[in-house]
Amino acid sequence: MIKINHIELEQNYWTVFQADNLNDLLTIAQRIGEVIPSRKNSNDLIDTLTIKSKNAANPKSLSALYGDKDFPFHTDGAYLTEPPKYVILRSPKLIRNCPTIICKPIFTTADKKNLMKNVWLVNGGRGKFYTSMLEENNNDYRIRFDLNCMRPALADFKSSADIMASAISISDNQEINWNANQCIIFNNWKLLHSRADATNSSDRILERIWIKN
Amino acid sequence: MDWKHDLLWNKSKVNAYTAHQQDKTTHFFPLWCSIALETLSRATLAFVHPSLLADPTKGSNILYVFGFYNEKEPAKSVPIKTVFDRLTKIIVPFTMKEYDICMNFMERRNRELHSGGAAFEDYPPKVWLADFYRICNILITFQKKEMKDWLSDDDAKIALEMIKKDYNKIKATVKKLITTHKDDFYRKPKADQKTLRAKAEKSHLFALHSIRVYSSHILCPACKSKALSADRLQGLTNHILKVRKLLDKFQYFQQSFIVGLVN
Repeated sequence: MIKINHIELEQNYWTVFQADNLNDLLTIAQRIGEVIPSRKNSNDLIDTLTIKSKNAANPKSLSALYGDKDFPFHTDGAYLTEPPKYVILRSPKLIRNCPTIICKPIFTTADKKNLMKNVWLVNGGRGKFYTSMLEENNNDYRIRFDLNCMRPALADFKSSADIMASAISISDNQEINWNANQCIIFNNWKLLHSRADATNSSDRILERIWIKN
Repeated sequence: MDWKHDLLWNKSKVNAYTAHQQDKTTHFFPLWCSIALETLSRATLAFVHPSLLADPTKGSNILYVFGFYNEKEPAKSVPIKTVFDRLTKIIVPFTMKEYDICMNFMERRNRELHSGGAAFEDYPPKVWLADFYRICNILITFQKKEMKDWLSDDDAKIALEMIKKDYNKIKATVKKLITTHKDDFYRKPKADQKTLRAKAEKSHLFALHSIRVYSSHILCPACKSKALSADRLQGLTNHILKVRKLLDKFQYFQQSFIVGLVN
């Protein structure tokens, strides 16, 4: 029986839990919202994330740029006009020394204003469009951040990257170390995440589910 | 679906910033402003609902708005003339006057793009910029945003200053008109003033029947005859219950002033 602490998810934007069975996990995810495939031209609702060298990776992926080195902080699906709200990650087995890092960036009011105002161009292979790193969403905001598929639409707007870097640097990051069958669900509209250096964890495997809203 | 409000709003902002990076003495400035105005106008319709942008001549254009898209049949949006026409029906301060100004601007833009003529030459900002900012401000505030959300802080400050000055210009013109007519009226002999007032009374009564918009009875600020201020309904506030009577509070947007003596 999978138990997700929804109060913790609501308040902290992330929570960890255990799931032995992948089908049960998918069922739980579908109760939270619409589960969407993350790969283009694929209907698979569960992704398997492995460590890949730069050469072996999909050219549009982070692995193609960083290989097994640290991934920078980002939000998932930033190249979609509507990125997934929740991401579930599950580790089928124990992973040593390669945590996922969760970051809740701290913004001042002025930061928020600038991040909402500055326009960035998204080009991640699913259509090009203009957006901002902080988007208004029902009197709240949603973060969209992936410098690998986003660039300032004009030079006037480039300060957003520095604002985000500064917000990340002062935030209190959380390391998620992976035990067997451990899962995390996090709000992808509020938190950034990254992967630590995986040079010594080449057998690291994570399963991933995207929930639209 | 490319007609989402956020996408169009952000694009219009990029166009507005690009416009303000141009040399304001060249044709590039009005050209980019016209592009910014078009995307901002489309964003305004999308703010109400993206389906307002769908060309109604083909059903597939409406389906596109709701996510049913056929790549072989690209979706077509309404022409800019229709966009402005729809805005006159949606935003009260966006009247036929604003429609005409926008269409004039777009016709120049089309001449610039479709002909060998230099449509934006000899078209200095002092002729059109205040109107441009004023109209953009109408569209921006309708989207619950501010000028400084659309332009850089410095350009937004200038734009708002220009709108204010333009408003003051209208105020000064109206004041001058009232003074001129007041002088004209009181210089006439008392008997003539009486006759004219009687005539105004009659005209006022006839005007009552011809007015199809909301109007209120006032005294002419120049000659003090009975007059009508004709307005367009801007909004209806919440119902107010007052001693067994349900009252509606109306808000008007004053458009014209009618009196027998003063035009």
